Amino acid sequence: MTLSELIDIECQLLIDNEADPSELRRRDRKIGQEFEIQRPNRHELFINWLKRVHTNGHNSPGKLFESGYRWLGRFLLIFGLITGSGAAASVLSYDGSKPVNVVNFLAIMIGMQLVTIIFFVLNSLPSSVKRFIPGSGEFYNYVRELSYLFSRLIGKIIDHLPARQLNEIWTELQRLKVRQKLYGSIEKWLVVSLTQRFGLAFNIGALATCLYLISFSDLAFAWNTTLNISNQTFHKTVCFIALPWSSMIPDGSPSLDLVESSRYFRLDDEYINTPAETAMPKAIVVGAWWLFLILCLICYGLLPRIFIFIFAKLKLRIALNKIPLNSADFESLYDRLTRPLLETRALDQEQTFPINNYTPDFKSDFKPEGKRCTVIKWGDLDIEYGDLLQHIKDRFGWDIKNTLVAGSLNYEESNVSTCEFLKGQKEKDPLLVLVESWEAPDAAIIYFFKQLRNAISIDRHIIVGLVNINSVRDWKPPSKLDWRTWKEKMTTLADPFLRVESMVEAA
Amino acid sequence: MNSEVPKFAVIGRVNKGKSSIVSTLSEDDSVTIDSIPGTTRHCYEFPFRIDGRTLIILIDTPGFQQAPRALAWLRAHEVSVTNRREIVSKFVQEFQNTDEFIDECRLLKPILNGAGILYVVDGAKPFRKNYEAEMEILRWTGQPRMALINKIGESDYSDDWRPALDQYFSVVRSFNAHYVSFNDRIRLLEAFRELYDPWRETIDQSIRYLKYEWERRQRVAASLITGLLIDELTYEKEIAIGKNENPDSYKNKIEAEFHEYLRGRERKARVAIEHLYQHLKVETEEDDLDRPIFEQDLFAKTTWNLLGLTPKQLIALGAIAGATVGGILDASVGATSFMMGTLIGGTVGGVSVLYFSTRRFATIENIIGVFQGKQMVRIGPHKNPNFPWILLDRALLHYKSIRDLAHSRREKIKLATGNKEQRVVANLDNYTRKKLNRIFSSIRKKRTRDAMELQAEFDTILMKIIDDI
Repeated sequence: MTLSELIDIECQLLIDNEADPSELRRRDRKIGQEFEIQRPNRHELFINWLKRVHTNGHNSPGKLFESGYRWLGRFLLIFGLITGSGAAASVLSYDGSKPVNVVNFLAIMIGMQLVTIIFFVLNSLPSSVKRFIPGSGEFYNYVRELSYLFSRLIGKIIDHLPARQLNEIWTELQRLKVRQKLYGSIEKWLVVSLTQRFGLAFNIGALATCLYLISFSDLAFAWNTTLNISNQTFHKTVCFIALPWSSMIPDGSPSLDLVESSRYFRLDDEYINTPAETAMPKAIVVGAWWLFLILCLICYGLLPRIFIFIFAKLKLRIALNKIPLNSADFESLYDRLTRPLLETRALDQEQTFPINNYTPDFKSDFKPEGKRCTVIKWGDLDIEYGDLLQHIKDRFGWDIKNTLVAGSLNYEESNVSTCEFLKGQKEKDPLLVLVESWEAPDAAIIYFFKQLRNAISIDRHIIVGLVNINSVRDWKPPSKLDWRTWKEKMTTLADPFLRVESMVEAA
Repeated sequence: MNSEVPKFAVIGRVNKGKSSIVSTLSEDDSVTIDSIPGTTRHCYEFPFRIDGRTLIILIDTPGFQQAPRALAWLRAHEVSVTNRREIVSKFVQEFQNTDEFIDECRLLKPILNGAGILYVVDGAKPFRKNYEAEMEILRWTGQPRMALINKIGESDYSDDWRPALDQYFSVVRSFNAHYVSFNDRIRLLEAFRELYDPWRETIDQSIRYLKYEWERRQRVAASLITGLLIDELTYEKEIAIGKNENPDSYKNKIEAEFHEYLRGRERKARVAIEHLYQHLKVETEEDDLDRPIFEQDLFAKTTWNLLGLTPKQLIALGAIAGATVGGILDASVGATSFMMGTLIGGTVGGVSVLYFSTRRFATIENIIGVFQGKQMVRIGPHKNPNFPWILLDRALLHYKSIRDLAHSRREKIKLATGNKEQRVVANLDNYTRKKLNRIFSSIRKKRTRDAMELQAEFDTILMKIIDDI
């Protein structure tokens, strides 16, 4: 995984936070399925996912960051070349009056670099090892103090922003802080590779300038120090420094003669041992240090930088490939990509019809006439005769002339027989069709009423009596909804001599 | 002839809850369910799909309207018991383009195309003999059949229905479409397996996926609740006002905005949980008096009286936390303090809980600083020790109602109000409460370095609670 991909994934997850979860699941599972056969690992899966969802590849935040990082790297490269070259030029500056001090060169060009490398090495050590190094704790405390001061400074700058922006930044910072634990190692090696790029350029610049000045100018080297160091001690020191190459390049290790003859005292403005006293001619003495200095720069400046630069790049790559990607957001994404998508809802939206919310008056204004009625029990209605008679009497004051059935299991024996029986009758007594109110009026009863009306005279009253008997055999008024349902359905028959009545009047 | 993909036509007389059963089983709250009969006028398919691959299809059908008459026609055309299925086909061919038996033709078609039968009756209404007409027609089709006794009302006539249903159906089950748990749904699917052996494997697969999905939802829900609590417990609002302006004049505005944010954040989490459980149309009560506890305003007095931890539990937790700190001090001085640290810590913890418990609403704090000639006024995070518990209680109560809400239910969801027993967090065991208390306190301290671990730990505890409720 590249840095740009990681940033883009993070940004996409941030965008997805606001999206419809079911849409996300559908989108991501579809992508996940494309890669199921290849069985990619977690990282590959996320990269492939990113390629599918990210349409704006060139201007993605990751690409922008990568390009910014590249430009910063280029800037540091140029800056390093210039500063390295400048540093070398100033250290090696020789106007013919004072020779170039070798100690100065070693301290500035090598010593300072070695200090930074030592810090880097110490910093790279595991904390279990680090705690045994004396002083490392204090050092990191200072670094921490510095970073605290730096964050205070940033805080001061942020505090100048309006409250709204402050809140936004705070939210982002919180997010970054949470992520820091995940991406801490990436951040570290990202910064290290940038600094090493600068270090590398610095050394290249310095080396090039050194070689140029040595080749195209006449430099005079000497060594001097206020400290009371003997020639032998200094010789031992430079020999120790030259150890890495002395066996391969013997000229790269200064001899005791050279050390003795090139010692210089500023007070006297002359070399202590004049060339006449040594076996070496003056011109050679003053220039003989160059190879040692160049090899120092290569061995203690350039090579460690190259090594650390490559190491940092390698570590960055390893860190990128080793990110656990197991935060809640990533877990959720992995879930969406790998878990089968279960869908159970209808594919086609059901056609809906407008529903009339009108509820007819529950109270009845029916004034029953006559003394008898013919009862038709609809749909295997289970009522004992005595009970039925009593309720009809109470409700309408009628006796029962005949009891017929319709809507029973046997169609021929119920509907057909009943209609046959009533056909051609001259009587005008009302027909009381008893139905269970909770049983919805269906096409069967509509069909029956049509058949019935065909069988009887057009003006004979048909009363649809709604029966609602509960589990303890009590007669109850129908529910308002059932009342409304029956009323509405019977209206569709447009029969002026048909009406719906409750067998128990509502209170 | 049975289809390769198991299909189940949900059949029954009008208004017996066919659509409710389909809605519940398919988790589709867009199914039209109305007490007005005949709302379903066509067949609608509800495919159970895994990654777009259909495993089972449920078919919602219009109800039987004229079964006795249709049966009379079939009997009149019967030649032998061996050709009954052909007669049913003939019936459909005869009437499918006419004005007669419209619904019967529509409902019989998928059965003749190989769908199994889920015959639905209303167990709250008594059995009538004429129902045998539709049962007989279904038997004539020769398709695998199962009967479901769906109870729409309070009465129970299941015992009347069973003897009749047993004669016509190989499997008879009770199934209340409005009050059904996940396990009930699984048991019903398991019963489907018994109907036709070749469908067994596919149905088993569907059951596995359903369980898998259920587990995923629980995990996501836990994560949503965790996110909600972390956000609400750490939220603070700041505004910049002029150097000479009185912060009190902004008090109401900033406090209202702060609390509105908290309410909004809670709403957002709720919608996410509702959508997770496929409830896209859940209606919420707006009436102040009838609102269930979790639906009442987050800062309503009744909410704070009834949810969260009891004052006794809160003080106990505060005292334990304080005593722990004091105990560490005692230990560090080798108990030469005569356990005064523990004693004082416990007392301070308990008293501070008492002090902060009095604040139901968060209020603005003093001016936190002056920058660039402006004063910064801050409100939040909410400091009441019961706040996280109330939030958690509300979230869990809402979660539970949504998880257990059948998709066929169209009324507004309610919980019994006024009952202190409904608290979830107050009934947690001491160990879980202590662990949660520690997590809440870490969240409030914004220990972002440990946020990932904290969230993971919180998720795990919540998963367990969710599993138990």
